[in-house]
Amino acid sequence: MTSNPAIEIRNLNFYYDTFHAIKDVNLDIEEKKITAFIGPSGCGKSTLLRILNRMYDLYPKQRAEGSVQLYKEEILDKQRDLNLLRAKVGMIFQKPTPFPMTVYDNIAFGVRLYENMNKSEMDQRVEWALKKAALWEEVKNILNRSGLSLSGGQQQRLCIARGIAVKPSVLLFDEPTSALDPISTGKIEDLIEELKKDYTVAIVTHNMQQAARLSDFTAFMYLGELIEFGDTKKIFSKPQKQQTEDYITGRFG
Amino acid sequence: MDLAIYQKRKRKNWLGLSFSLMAVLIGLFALFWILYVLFAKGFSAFDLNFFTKNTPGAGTPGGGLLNAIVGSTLIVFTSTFISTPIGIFAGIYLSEYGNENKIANATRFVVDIMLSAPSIVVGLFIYAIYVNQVKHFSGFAGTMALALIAIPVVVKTTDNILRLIPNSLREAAYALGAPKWKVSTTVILKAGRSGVITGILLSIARVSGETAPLIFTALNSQFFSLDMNNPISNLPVVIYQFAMSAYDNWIQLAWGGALLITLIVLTLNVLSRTLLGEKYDL
Amino acid sequence: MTEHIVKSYQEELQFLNDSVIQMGSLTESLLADSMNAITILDKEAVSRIVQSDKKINEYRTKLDTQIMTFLVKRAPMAIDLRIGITALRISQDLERIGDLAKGNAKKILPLPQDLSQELLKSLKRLGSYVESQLNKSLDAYIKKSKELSIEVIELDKNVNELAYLSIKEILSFLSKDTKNLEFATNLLFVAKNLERAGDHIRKIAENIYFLIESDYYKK
Repeated sequence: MTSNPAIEIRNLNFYYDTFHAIKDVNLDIEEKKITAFIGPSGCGKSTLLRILNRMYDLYPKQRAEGSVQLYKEEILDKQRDLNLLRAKVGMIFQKPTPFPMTVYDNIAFGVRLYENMNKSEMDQRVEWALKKAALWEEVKNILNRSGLSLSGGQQQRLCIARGIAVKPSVLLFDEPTSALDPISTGKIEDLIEELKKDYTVAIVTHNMQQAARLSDFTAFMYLGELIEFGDTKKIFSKPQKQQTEDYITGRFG
Repeated sequence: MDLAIYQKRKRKNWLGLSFSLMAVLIGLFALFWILYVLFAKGFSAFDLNFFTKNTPGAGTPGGGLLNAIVGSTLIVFTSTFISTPIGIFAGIYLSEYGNENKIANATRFVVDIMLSAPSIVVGLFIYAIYVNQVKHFSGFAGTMALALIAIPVVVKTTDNILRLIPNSLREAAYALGAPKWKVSTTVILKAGRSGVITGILLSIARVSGETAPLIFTALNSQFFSLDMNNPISNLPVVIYQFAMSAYDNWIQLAWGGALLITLIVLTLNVLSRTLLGEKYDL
Repeated sequence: MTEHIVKSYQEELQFLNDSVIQMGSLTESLLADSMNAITILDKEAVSRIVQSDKKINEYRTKLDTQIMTFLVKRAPMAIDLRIGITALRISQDLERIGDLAKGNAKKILPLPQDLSQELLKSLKRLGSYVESQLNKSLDAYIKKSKELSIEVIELDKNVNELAYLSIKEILSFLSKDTKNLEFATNLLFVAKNLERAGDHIRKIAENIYFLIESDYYKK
């Protein structure tokens, strides 16, 4: 479908117990580009995102069928080491969730899981991650303060820095700015645009303008099905399916 | 607006508030009366001797409660030392690993039963399986009995606190590739630490004043001792012995001891309440 | 097409649509009045025509404000955005056509009442054709018809030809007697203005095509 896919999804089906939540989805997520998932509540976009890092495994009675390959390696394989997978595919959630630790430790937590570093190496990694998340200037003198003492927008950027620090290949964003004010939202959108230079990004959003602004590719989902997928510019100016146009213009019915 | 209905509601409201206020006043009155009596009768016992002399023998004048204070401290401290880690880890297990688990549900049920078990039963239990076997009373037996009372408290508060922590925090940790035990201990436990500490403080407050179990386990001793393998002096049993005796100085010391225990329990409760009042690290 | 979930949004879209059509018919009337006045040299009608044009200009200002508000309020996407943008452009072209029609009417004031009917006949032919183009383009807008808008675009070359013929006739009239210079130049302007009006009508049709296809018409 696309030229350089990082993730290839084929015949994906997902069930919450007996409820068929995702129906036969096929799509590619292009490497080092931003792919947005839009659709009304309950369409399955968040569900799909959470399959990409096997987050659903935490809960019983949720299962996926089909094939999802990350750089040609199957994610849905039962033998696959989930912790290693999640170190490669990071996720940032809607609600900022800093750990109850210092700013420094928040970032170092993930790194310490898989890498052995001495203090100065860790210092460098923390600084690098915070700089990439456009947060360094604001926190460089308060690294020892609790992560919870930051403002909402700062906390979310802290979570992004935390996710970047472990150097994943893919970053998944689940409605990252829904809980934030417009200025924080703008800063984070800026940040996400920068991130696509180094990471493959997938973002779920119910903000149409955000999807149109940020993404290179957009996937429109409805009731668990992928209705349309393509170049963002085309999807938002002249989509191919009437359903897509109805949704993005607010005629949905 | 119908004025009659409004007036009727206003009257009902006033009645309800008055009854609630009366209930509060009765409760507060009882509390202050107890404190007053304790202070009136016990405060005069507080002098240097109280804290530096050992319990006097029958008929011997003067004396203090030093050995009882030391003994109680030892027993409570060691029992807390045992019950806290067991309680916390059990609480973590229940909250993090035991959500749709039959074993977990059974455990929670047992914990609830043990919480309301009469402490004298616990004392008798330790007496039967340990004291009677080794044929002597000891501080260790007392520790075991108190630990059995403290553990359910810590387990329940830890379990409840950790379960209140939203799943979003767990998911954030898992999303970085952290294994489950690390998430449970490093992230979740830290997030609930004020609640957990409160639980520990409450367990200490609870066991500090328990008398019945100690009667059957640690018993008492007239002398100062640090030997936990033998009967050891402790505040509750001393109070029990001295309060209904014929000797004035014993009665005085009993009141002093009662006041001391009350003050300790009060302080622990207030401490835990201020900790809870702090911003939750959730 | 399905209706908007938000009723007021749907009503605003409808209102924009109707306003453009309304402005179109005002312009049509103005053009017809102007051509009529030219054909029978009715100099009394000129001041009335000037007033009509003023009304159209005011209408356009109001419509523009409505469109701006619509864009700001609704942040429209896809077809809704195109509806807003083309309404903006079409209102501009309609206003220009109105200006040109008014200008043409004023041009008859210095003309002699006994002017040759032959001269005016070619202008009349040109004017009728332009009127029919305008009518067709408004029809295309009302029906949102791709075919009609393509017709208007393609037929614009006829307007240019008719204008060319008119200008040739006027120039030969001029060469016969230089006394005719002043009002001959007026007639030249009328012909040229009608050709320009035709261009604006073609632009309207191109915008209607863009509204429907989200792309520009290529032959």
